[in-house]
Amino acid sequence: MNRLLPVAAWGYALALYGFIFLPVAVLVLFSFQDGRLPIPPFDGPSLKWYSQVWGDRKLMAALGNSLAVAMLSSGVAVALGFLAAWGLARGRLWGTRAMQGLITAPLTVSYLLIGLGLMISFNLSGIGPSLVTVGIGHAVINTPLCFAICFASMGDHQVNIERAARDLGAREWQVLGLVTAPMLMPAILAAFALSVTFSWDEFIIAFLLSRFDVTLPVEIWSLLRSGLNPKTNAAGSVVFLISVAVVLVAEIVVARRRA
Amino acid sequence: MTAPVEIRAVSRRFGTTLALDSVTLNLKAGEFAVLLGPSGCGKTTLLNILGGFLAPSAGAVLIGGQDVTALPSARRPTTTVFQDYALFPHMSVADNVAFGPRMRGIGRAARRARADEMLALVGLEGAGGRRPHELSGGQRQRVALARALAVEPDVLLLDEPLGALDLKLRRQMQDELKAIQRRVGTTFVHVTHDQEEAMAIADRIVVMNAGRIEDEGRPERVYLRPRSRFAAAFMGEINLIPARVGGAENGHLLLDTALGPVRLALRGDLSAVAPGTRLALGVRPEHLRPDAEGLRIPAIVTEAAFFGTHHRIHARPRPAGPELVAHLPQAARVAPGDEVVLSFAPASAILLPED
Repeated sequence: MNRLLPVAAWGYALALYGFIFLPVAVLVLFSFQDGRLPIPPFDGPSLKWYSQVWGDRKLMAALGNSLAVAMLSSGVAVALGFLAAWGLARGRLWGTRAMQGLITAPLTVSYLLIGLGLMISFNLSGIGPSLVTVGIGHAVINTPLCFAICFASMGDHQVNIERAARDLGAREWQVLGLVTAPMLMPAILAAFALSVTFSWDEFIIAFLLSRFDVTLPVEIWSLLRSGLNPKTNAAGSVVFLISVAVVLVAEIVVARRRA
Repeated sequence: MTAPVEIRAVSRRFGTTLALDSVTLNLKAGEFAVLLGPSGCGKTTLLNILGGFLAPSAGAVLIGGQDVTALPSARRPTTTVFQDYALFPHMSVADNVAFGPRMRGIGRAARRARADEMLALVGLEGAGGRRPHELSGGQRQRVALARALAVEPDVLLLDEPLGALDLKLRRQMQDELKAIQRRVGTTFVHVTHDQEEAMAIADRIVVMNAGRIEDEGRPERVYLRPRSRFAAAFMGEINLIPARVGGAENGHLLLDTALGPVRLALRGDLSAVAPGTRLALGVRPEHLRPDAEGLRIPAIVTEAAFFGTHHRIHARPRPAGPELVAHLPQAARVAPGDEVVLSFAPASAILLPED
């Protein structure tokens, strides 16, 4: 029994990671396919599909759009989430608990519903779909997340540190800018990085709220409509690679700040 | 800089509990005052009211003659050394110390110089480039002190600043605090529950209990002539002997105590003391000695322990009386079961109300 346990544990771990990562591995593998179809047998490796992606004006424009939307919407989401967390953690307001629940509630609502709701709202108010509306949509879905991360990192031990700053003559905006935000920078960076990755590969909201300029997932989706093609694999791999890079950079920055 | 502090009938309520009950206290400029009391006595509440972190429910606080009751902490001439130091973890030690001057719009070079000067004052020359987490507890304490003093406050508030340090370091920091206070001349208000610490550093001890001031004055006075039973017991170990007024005669009060008659010399009018009034006679263990003059108390030692500077014994008086604690001289030889004769000079005894 005791000897079986490690074997079982390893087997379970392998199955789990295989289940999670095998689809991605297959996607990445067939992006290096030399033939016209991303299906076995694999012949290659070849970088020709990557060079096609690189040469595709629309794909590259979509990649730029995605980056811009991810950065700006995440900046807005982090700013809103952090300020809300600070207000609810430090202020003594009536119904703090209820407000806290209300802010995090959208985390449980499907992106489809949020996307539809935003689409209808923008329609009613006469705002046409564009990258700006996509950015607003992403800020809407990421603000609750940023709030939750920032709120969780606001402990009581920081209250005294903020008091000390006030005691030494800091005004409220100085406390926020010089003490609270720098002190919570690991949480803020983590929230920002997560927001960026969520916005980066978000499809449904971006699809519903954009028209001419689209983000990368939407562009990949329109590629898919013309059938399976290793080029979509290559584009998907680029999306995956950038997500991983963002998370790694965030991890390193956070780890360095903690050290 | 320095200023006197005037606390006028300050009360503070938390829900239904009265944390401070009409406290009035005047501190002179440049005084080292210690608020002493058990946890929950209101000493920290009073400090928070002085610092502007808490508003009093009633009463006023004046610093240097100016009413600061309505001022937020940022605009008071006070700074605080927090119990948990509350250093800015993301700033260097020098930036921590220079934070106050920075908030006052002092230029980079000047506040850098100020930080170096303050760090030198607390014995941390050259540590300015380090981060708070790289320092020991005692060093962080010094940084917190330097940071609070860097803005030249009129009044420095210290919230149990030595509580987290080990005993040896605490004694050392007490001496340094006292020396620094003398050098800068700022009024210090220091909160602690450690009466030894209070006596080591205070010019004036304020003993608090249940939201009230029980006694306040110079350490010697509060220790030797406490004004309440609580203050007497909190300042140090004391034997409380039940007593009854037998009468008064030319400046002396005659007491019948559980240990025998005692004749106390008292100044003032004694005619108001009615015979039969029940009192308690407080005697500190170090005043109960085998060689003192006065009432002789034969007793049997029930416990004895050597404390270095003295032997601390428990003794049961014969034929009857409350068990006593006494400090015998270092050279004494005592063991449980020994017979001793203790006595105390009436002048050293403290007359206290019965419970």
